Amino acid sequence: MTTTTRGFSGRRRARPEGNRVPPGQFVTDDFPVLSAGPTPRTPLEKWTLALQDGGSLAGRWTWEEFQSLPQTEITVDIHCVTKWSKLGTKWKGVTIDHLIEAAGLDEPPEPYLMAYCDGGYTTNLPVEDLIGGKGMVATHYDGEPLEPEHGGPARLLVPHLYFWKSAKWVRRLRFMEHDEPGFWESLGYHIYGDPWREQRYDGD
Amino acid sequence: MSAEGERSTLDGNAAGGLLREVFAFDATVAPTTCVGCGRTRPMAELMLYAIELGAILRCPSCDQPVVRIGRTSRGLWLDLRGATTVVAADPATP
Repeated sequence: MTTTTRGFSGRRRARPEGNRVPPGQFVTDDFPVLSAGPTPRTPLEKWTLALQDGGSLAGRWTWEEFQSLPQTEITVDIHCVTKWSKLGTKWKGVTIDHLIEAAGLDEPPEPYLMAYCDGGYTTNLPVEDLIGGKGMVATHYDGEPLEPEHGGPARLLVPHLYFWKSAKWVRRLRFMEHDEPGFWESLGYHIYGDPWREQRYDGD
Repeated sequence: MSAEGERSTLDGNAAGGLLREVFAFDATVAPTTCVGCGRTRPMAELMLYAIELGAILRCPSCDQPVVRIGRTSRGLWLDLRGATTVVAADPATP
């Protein structure tokens, strides 16, 4: 059965009422595409999503199995480190909470997580920024299946952090004991990436 | 002899001349070996993906990122872990 829930919300921070645009950002109606490589096109019949606890497999879902997990719809603002923000974007997917539950885990086994993607992209996140409805694996944008250019068939969505953390073409999520830098984080970008604190680069 | 005794008394400053020779090379012609597939080609023959965040040079044989450059407010970050070796032209060799 597919259930649809609402009420997914990012980390709330003290900021001027009604101000939805973080410092240094401008609002765009476009949806710019930034990719550090060719666009992978994994056929759905070959697609799987794996959840790993360190080196051991905690859960793995085929596309069909993934669709049968509880589906959540959200409307959120997104903020790219290249300074564009897009307001009111609509997504559908499976929250990390539901993935953890579907893997039979009572709670996240480690405090950090690395996302691995087709094409070799990676990004690191604290688990607390993914649970409690703060992160999902999204498969639909604006009511349609997510296009490959935007990370389809499935991308990570963590809207309260800069959008490089919302890794496109995600295939594997690995819990880890210690934080490690991912693809851009190891090239001078901030390890955490909070747009409200303008954490663009290492040292910000 | 103890490990302590084998330690060099010189620091990297003493390699300044050599480092200047190595890092003054024209990277586009430098033979560069991909860590993914082991193939060697000049950097000019890698595939460039340049976006505002930085530039990624990928191996045309296996898509491995070989040279990665992050463009930040604090400089250009170079990551060569995708290259096993980069051969700089030796100015002393004709």
